[in-house]
Amino acid sequence: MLDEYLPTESEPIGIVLGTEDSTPLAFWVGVAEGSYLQLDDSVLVETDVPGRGTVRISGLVQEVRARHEGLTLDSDVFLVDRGVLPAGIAQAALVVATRFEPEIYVPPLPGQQALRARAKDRDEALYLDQMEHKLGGGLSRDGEPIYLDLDFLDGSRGAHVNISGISGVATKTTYALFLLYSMFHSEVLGKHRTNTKAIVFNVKGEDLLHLDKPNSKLDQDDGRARREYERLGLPAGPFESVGLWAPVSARAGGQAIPDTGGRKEGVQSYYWTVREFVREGYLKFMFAEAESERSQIADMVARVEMFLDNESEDDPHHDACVRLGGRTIESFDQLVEHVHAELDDDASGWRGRLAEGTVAAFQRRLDSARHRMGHLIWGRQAEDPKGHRIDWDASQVTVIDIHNLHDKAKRFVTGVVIKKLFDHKERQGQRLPLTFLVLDELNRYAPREGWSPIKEVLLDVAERGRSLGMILIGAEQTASEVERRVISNSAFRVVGRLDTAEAERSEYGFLPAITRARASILKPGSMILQQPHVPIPMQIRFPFPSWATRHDEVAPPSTDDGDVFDKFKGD
Amino acid sequence: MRFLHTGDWHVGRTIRGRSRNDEFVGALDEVVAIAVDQEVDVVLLTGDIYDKHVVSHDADVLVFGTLIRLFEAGIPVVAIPGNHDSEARLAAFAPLLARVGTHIVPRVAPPDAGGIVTVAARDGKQRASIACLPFISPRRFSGAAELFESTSKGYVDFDAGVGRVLRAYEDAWDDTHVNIVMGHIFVSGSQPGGSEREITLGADYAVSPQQLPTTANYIALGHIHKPQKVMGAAADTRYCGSLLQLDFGERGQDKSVTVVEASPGKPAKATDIPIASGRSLLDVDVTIADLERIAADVGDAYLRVNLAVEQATPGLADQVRRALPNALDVRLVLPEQEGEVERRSLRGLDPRQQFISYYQHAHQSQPPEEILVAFDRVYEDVNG
Ligand SMILES: [Mn+2]
Repeated sequence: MLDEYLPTESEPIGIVLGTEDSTPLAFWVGVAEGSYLQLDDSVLVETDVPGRGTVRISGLVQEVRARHEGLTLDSDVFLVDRGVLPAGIAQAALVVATRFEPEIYVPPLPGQQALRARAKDRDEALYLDQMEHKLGGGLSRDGEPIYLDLDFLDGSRGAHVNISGISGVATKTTYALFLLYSMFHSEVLGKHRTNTKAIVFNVKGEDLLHLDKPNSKLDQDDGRARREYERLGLPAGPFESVGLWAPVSARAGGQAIPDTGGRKEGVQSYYWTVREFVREGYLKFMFAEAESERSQIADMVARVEMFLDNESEDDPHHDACVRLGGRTIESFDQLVEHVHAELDDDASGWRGRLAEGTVAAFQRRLDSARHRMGHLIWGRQAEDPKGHRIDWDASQVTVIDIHNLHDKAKRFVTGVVIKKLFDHKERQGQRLPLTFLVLDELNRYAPREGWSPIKEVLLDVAERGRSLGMILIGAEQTASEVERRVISNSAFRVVGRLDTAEAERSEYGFLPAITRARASILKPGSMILQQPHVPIPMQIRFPFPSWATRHDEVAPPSTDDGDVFDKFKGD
Repeated sequence: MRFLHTGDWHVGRTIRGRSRNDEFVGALDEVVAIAVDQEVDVVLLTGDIYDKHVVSHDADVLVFGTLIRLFEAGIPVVAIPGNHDSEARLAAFAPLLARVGTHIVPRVAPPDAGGIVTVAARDGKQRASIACLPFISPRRFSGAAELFESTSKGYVDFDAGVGRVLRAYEDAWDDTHVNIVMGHIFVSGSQPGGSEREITLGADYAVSPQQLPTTANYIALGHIHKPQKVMGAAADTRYCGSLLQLDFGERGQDKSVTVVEASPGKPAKATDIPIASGRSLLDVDVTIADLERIAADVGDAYLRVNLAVEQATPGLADQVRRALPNALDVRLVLPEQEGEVERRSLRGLDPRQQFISYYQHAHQSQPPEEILVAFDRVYEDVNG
């Protein structure tokens, strides 16, 4: 296997063909007998330019073909097979040039030797030699490391990653996490590693609630994954600094326990308080479905938020409560009732000049949202509000679970968290250390059509995050359903398996036709990576996760440990 | 590595002439017990160790005793002076205390001249580089900054100057260490606890959070007595707060020390552990008839009593003090003073009237005509 074999010098692989046109952009290489070239291999040809010296032309294999020579009929192949007709097999590879050193755009000449580029020649073909800060991003098809240029991720020259691909194979989130893993467990961030943070929303299953545990299946497949981590200069283990947060359970009789299934231990529960809701203006995130445009309802929401904040006083007796109209608001239900009462009261200024229909629609939606996410806002029953406020400062990676929540509640949580993160980063006023935000299902939060408060925040992140050091690693099944500016601000585009029709859309215009075709047959663990330096998207794969991604990948606790039984012993 | 962050002890502080020594003894016992219990590697003592420059015997006995107990438990202490401490006195004691494991950095010093203290963890595996920023008197500030600059620039902006000092420390840090700042400073955006009466809390002498090193594992601060996390700083930055409610400005505050777990290259995990030895400071509103009942409720808390009476008669205050021996202040509240402030409902008024009412309330006068005209114009604009 290639894994075992790491040559350090480029070796001859064939000769530039003269029967096909050689151009500066693309040329064909005849593959020598006993050798092979596969898609994405790096190739180097040196050519002499009169008066200018040697030009090194590097490129990547984009197409490989094999054919019988000298035959004209399709049926000839059977004659050759029977030994009746003599014929030679010719293999050739189409190389698309990526780089000229120095920059003299000439074609390589027929008959010139082509090398399989290794070591620093390969780095040159892939521009890895020009990256000052290299972030391990996976392995190319020949098993060698591929790096991302951190300068295009950290905001200094670009920012953001966008990942598309059909769901079901969990590849998108896993790749996003692999990038985080690579970042936090290597030296690439230098001294800024200490306070760089990542916030990850867990949208499906409990996949991400085991990040802090080693993957017990890592050693299957002959330890190949471990060798791949080693090749990338990474340890193979769990995430080392993780905070896990799940919504407080709706039916726990006032106990602040997390609403999770497979894992409870080490998971902290989160809720917000009535006072935070009022003071921070969270009402808007209860109305977070996309609308055709900023509607009357949005004005109504802004108005009610303002009245709530202005007319309420902090309850001196409880941190979670406020006083409104001379009465203590002890629960979220009471808060909602108060809003209704003000809106129903003709003498009250809350409804202003908004139309009857708008007010009624607002009230209807308020009730339906309250029903879905009201359990996340606590009043008097909150014993330790600080302890249940999501603390993304305490860990490198903070996972916020939302998968069990109703759609409205999901939007509420993501809206509130992203807004707070953004404000927090804005207040810091420094790009470094970076804050990463990993969000799947971008099409839901920043849809192409319509307006919503979350979309507004995400657009802010996409457009201003680069200078603020807030980096979005966003994912979606289909980029065509996501707000254009979110996609177009991403320096890195990553594509997993795509459905054929989707791959033809203009959002994937950066993929050459042949790569689009390949996108429909990608296996889990393989992606196509387009990065700013490298003119051609490359197919890469990333190692099997070294952290548990499912409950059954967590190593069972060892059974010779008697501790658990000791707990039940009498005195 | 584990750190215990404590400070603003103010040992020797009295309240209305009463000694609080017993409370300090209890609180410092708790501090030592927590340090031992949590197996901390280092105690970070962030200034205002003593309450006054001139120190009573009791206070010295208590402070030295505490430091020696930590030494005997094998826990080193790194300490800096606060504005209440005599820097000269601590500097004089520094070589002596160094023999019993307490390392004092009395003045701002360049990293290689004592400004950064390196401490190894008990297990010898990790090391901490602790950058020390003792209280800098704004008067002397230009002196401290000149340590880092060959030419004097005259007046140096305090905020930027402290930032330069901190960056010099940051540059000297080692990525493989746990890197900590400890300082006795006011960081803008933090909430004063009510008892820091010093002029240094004025905005001029605040340090903005942006000046704090972004690569620190943890930033341990003293000066503000209300325990809190400082917002707007990239690294976890906290005031551990004082050990007791030192005066009525701190009433109602829970007191604690902070235990910090940190390793190189990772964010710290900080946990507050309560300190319970101090007596509460309370404001109570009473009538003569209430006294007995209140006495049973307030335990050993020190009180500020507002006594509601029909009219002032001699001996009332003494009557209160007999019933409530811990009443430090007694104030008579007479009926006419009490005049119920009814929150006027603005609901029935139109916006213009609401504005006039607001203006009267805020400025104690009628709004001038031009302001009303401006209001009408804005209101028209908004309502289209
Ligand atoms: Mn103090």
